Amino acid sequence: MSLKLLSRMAGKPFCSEKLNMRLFSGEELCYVILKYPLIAMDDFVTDGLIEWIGTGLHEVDLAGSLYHDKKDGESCENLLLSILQNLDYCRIEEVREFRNTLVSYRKLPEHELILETAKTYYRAGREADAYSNLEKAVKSITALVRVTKDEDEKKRLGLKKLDVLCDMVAVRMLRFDAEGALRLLDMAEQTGRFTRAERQRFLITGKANLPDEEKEKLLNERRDLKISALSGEECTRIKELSSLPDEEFLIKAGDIIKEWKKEYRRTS
Amino acid sequence: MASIGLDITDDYIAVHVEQSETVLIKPAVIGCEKDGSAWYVGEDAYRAALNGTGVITDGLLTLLGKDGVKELGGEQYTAMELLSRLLSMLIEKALKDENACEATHVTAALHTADKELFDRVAACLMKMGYGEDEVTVISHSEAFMYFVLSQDRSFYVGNVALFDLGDGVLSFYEFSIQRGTGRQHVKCTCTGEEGFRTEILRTDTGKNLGDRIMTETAKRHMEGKVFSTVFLTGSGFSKTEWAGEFVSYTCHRRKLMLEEGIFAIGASLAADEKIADYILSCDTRISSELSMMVEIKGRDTELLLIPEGERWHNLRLMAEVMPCGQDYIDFIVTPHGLNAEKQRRRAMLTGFPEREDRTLRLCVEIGTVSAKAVKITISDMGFGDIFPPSGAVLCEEIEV
Repeated sequence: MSLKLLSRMAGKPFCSEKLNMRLFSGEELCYVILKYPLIAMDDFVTDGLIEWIGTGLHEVDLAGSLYHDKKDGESCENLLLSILQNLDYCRIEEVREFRNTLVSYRKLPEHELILETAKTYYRAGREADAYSNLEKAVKSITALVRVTKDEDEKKRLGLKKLDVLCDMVAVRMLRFDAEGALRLLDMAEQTGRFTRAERQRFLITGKANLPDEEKEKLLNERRDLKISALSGEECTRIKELSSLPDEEFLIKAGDIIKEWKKEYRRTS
Repeated sequence: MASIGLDITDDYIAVHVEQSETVLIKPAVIGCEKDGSAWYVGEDAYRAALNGTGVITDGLLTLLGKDGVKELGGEQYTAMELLSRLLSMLIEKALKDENACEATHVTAALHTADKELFDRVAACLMKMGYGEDEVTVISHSEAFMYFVLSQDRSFYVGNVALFDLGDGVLSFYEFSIQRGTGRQHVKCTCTGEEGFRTEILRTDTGKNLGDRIMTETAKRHMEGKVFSTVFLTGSGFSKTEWAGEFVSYTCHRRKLMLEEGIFAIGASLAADEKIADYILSCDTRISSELSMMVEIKGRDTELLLIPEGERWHNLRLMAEVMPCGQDYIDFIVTPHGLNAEKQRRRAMLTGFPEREDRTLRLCVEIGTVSAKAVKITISDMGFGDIFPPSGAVLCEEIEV
């Protein structure tokens, strides 16, 4: 237990496109590296970030060493570790744990690593990046199925692919693209039958090969969610904005929804 | 370019230009022609009023304390406007007398250390065009301290006493110095105040009574202590033949000095670097040290926020901290003295949002209320785009 004395925040924030957020301090930088290691491993330490560490955070020595290490071809993982060790935010054990996490990620099969990256992007609110990684994962699994001779393994991979396709359907639905989602479900059906896909189809079209009890359960769940959303704090706040002119209403309501989505992703 | 010292009371205003031999002392009266065409201060204002051409007003410091308004020549003026006008006319005159062109720093000395009045006087001076860092407001005790420290060392080998006999009040100030190996600790307090109408000195009986009161007061405050110098100031000491017994008691084996405008002279020395060699203790200085327990680069450190002897008026500090697994902030108060025990004051962080550990960036702002109390405001700064500020604020007053 302690109280950390902080240095002043940077005058200009670092805008991370990968995370879709602005970083104002070294603490925030360390936090996102720890929180989203897979995004950080994905070429996060750019020249722009190094420059900001030097000029924005006034960590000139760290920026200098990062610049030279990067130029010498040092791995992204080591650059991240260097940042965590030099900015006074993490405990030694945390840095050690982070190192182990990176190692364990590197040991994952390619498609698993891509899938984990996709999930991290999703949690960080980067739906497009999450979707493209899911696509990559499907391709990687398909390639693996082709070369696998073990039938059980083939079956397991097939189910995995179906699951990933369902994830892609979920992302499409978040973007209100029902047509694209149905196309993906048709594609999934060609691979095999999958209850999750049937459920998704039912929620989109209202028709699916599901027992009546299951259908009722899904409809009830959807109704409950709708009720809780309408009675939620965000909905009330949006209703309160109704007197505003259209343009202002859309901007402010959009902000509330964005905030809610961010919180939802963080907690779910 | 000069530093100006002001002594502002309801009765008089004294202006001293640094390094000058004289002090300009004028009644604290301002007046104008009935049609508002010309303004007068001090005796000129009285003269205009006696001639029947002008109107006057006084008691401006009290009026300023009440944030009051006065009508003059058919126009309404705030106390701040009137006092600003009066002070700028007097400063202009004092600078002209000394052939100095402008004042670089103005320090005003007031009788009591009251934050609100200090703020208003500072605002008054700033209204005259001085910047925030060019204005200081201190108490008479502090001004007297500067005055004594500017004298030859032989004056303050022992304690130093000051009797200030103004219109209606006799004040006694005691200056002492604690010598040691480190920075010397200088203390000045106004230890006694009693009513004394100088009108009684108009009759012989009154003079005898006045002398007796003064002698008794001197004995009460000075007996059993070693005083090397006694200063007398104030309009009551313009003549001293009425105080024979008092004078013979006070000048026995010590120096007795009669000095006009001591507080204004002291105030003009407020910016003197020599003062930095001492730890000052009076009603405008914080007598304890305030620090905060923090971790810097993995080490627990006591971060000094307010050193002992810091002037509390206009003191503003800010630090940004982040609790790691704790829901409180510990402040340490270290009173003056070798055997003084450190006191821990804990501010519980109640009402702040519950977030993941180390994502609560807090701004700790420290302002002072008086020499004995510090106001601490802790506010949530959020954590960048990840957690926006919640608006949670905690205000606590800590006794120091």
